[in-house]
Amino acid sequence: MRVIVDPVLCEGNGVCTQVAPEIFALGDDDRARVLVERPDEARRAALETAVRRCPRRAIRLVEG
Amino acid sequence: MCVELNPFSYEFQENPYPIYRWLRDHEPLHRNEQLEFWALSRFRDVLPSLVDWETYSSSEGVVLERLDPKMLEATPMMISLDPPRHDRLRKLVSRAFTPRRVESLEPFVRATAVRLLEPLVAEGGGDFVKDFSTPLPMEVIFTLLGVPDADRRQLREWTDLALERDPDTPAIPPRALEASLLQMRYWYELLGELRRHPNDGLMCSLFEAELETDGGTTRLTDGEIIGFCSLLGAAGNETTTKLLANAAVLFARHPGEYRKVLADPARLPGAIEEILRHSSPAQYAARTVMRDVEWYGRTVPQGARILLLIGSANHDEREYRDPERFDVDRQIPEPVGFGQGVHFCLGASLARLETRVALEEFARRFPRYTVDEAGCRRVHMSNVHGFASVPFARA
Repeated sequence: MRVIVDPVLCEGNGVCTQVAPEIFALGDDDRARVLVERPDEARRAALETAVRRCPRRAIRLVEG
Repeated sequence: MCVELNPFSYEFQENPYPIYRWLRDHEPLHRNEQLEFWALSRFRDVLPSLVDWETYSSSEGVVLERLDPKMLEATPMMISLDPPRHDRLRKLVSRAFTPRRVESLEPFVRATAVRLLEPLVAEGGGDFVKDFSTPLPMEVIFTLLGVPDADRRQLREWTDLALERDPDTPAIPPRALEASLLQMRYWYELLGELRRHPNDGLMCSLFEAELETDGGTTRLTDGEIIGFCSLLGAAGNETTTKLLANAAVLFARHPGEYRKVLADPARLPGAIEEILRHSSPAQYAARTVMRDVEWYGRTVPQGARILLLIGSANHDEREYRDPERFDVDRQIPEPVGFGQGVHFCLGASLARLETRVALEEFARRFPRYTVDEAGCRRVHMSNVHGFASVPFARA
């Protein structure tokens, strides 16, 4: 599973950095950075929450 | 029993919640034959539809009343555009409204709130809307845009008037059309003035902005710059004003909840989310359906207008337990008060900041107050609900 943040859609609302701080951090340009691009399967539930709660729907999980 | 939803009914605007509840229970896909629109009212139907911009297009405007397509094209606004054009425009201003950038405005917002509250403290009360919740967001957004002090009050009045609607009808009243033209003329004049004598506001930064096109980049047209300024001006004024006054009325009606926030200010951000849920300024977002869609066994045909009832989604008992109750400690994992997806309110962080700072300073000065309910007056706008006047006094 791969985590992708769309840099055009992301406006740094910081919901993902609260839901999964070990996976996302806010960069200097106020966009979310993916800290762990291929996270452990155990993190899936938290990542799905981040995807769902992102107000701009800027996060995608890609299988494989 | 059969209920009809008419967003222009003054009675509906006074208390839309019983009608929303009936719709959710009996007609979750509602059809108004006379006004020719459809409406979705359940949380789990509204939320994904807000996100799905390909099916639910904003290109014909986000209010029910028909807007002049010529005007939409003369001053294009991202609120009534779909991607990719929407995204290209939004990108030019989005950096100015990120939570981090907005945080830097806190001292200015606080100083403005304190200044506006001084005469109210001296008088022991006043009109929360006219004296506080109107001028505060006005000063903030017009300072950001670079509108000169002397013009702000008049410009705001035009913005207000442009949104006013007569009872029961979607026809835009002549006074609203006139105000909207005066407002546009003002922006054109200011644009000319600022091209000659620039200031450090957002309007001037748009002169240099490079808009992405299919072939390369281009400068914004005057119409695009004015579209931005009138949109940000209106959005920055109207909704925050309503949110703040809704807060003042809710806290007066629920002194127990107010006391919880007074005792523990860390609860205020959560309380603001609950105010936004319970009494959302934005009651619906209108969309145009781009392909036939099925809902509850009926087909909404391509080209139809549909209202996504945010105000109803926020009171859906399928999503929130005891939704009519105002509870500052309620958990709201997926707020829809600012919309969701590509059109998620660009000013959400600014609105949250202004509301928090304003309520902190207000609470410090008015730990006990009452609202004269009989003296309150509502605004009559299409999709924005709130008050035009809220008289209050220290208790």
